[in-house]
Amino acid sequence: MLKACSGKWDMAPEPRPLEQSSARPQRRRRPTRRPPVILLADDTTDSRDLYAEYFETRGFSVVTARDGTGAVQAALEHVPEVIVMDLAMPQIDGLTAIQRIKADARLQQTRVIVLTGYHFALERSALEAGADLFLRKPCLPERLELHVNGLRQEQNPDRGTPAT
Amino acid sequence: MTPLAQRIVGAVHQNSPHPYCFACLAAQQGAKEHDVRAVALIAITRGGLQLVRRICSRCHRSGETLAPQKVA
Repeated sequence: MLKACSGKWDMAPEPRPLEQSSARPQRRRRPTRRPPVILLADDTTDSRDLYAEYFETRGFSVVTARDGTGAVQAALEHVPEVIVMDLAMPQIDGLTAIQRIKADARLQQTRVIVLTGYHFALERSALEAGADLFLRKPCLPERLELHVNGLRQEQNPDRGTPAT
Repeated sequence: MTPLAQRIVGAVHQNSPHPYCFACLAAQQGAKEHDVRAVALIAITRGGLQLVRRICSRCHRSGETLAPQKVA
């Protein structure tokens, strides 16, 4: 035990001769792909947690918000690729939150999906506020993921599903 | 599960095999349609329901309805 800790092991290894290291093909490190960030804004705790758990298992980095103000703050802080926004939320509603998010220059590339229990009559207002897609609840997580990845690929065709 | 989600699960089982659309299910439960839709995902994932396209037994419109999952 003591021998292993003696001077020889503590010394830094000698640098290899230049010829030897240059003759060896260098391994190119694969760039580590950062997980896409998704913001889930919904005041229904159960749904928010369920979607969050699902998207985490699918390789997303998930940020959640329980009201409109929190959604705007989280969007500005994390700059997500996609936001899934409920409309009926405390403090400021989803439409106002979308308008504030889209007004920020850093979030121009962020895609917004409105996911609401309200009628399609609100679709036009949502799209005018800056939403890219209007979905009506209930939406199974697998289906929501298809829409999320569809929007991500529209933005950048190289983007696949994060889990693959 | 929220109390409304539990009520929806109970009502769907009670109505079965007659499917109700979300509007009629909400009216039957004295709730708002968007509230029923908001809890429907939890009713599906934790209450053993499924989302199927059927004709509503009440208003006879075609659309998405909740139904009990079939047990194999």
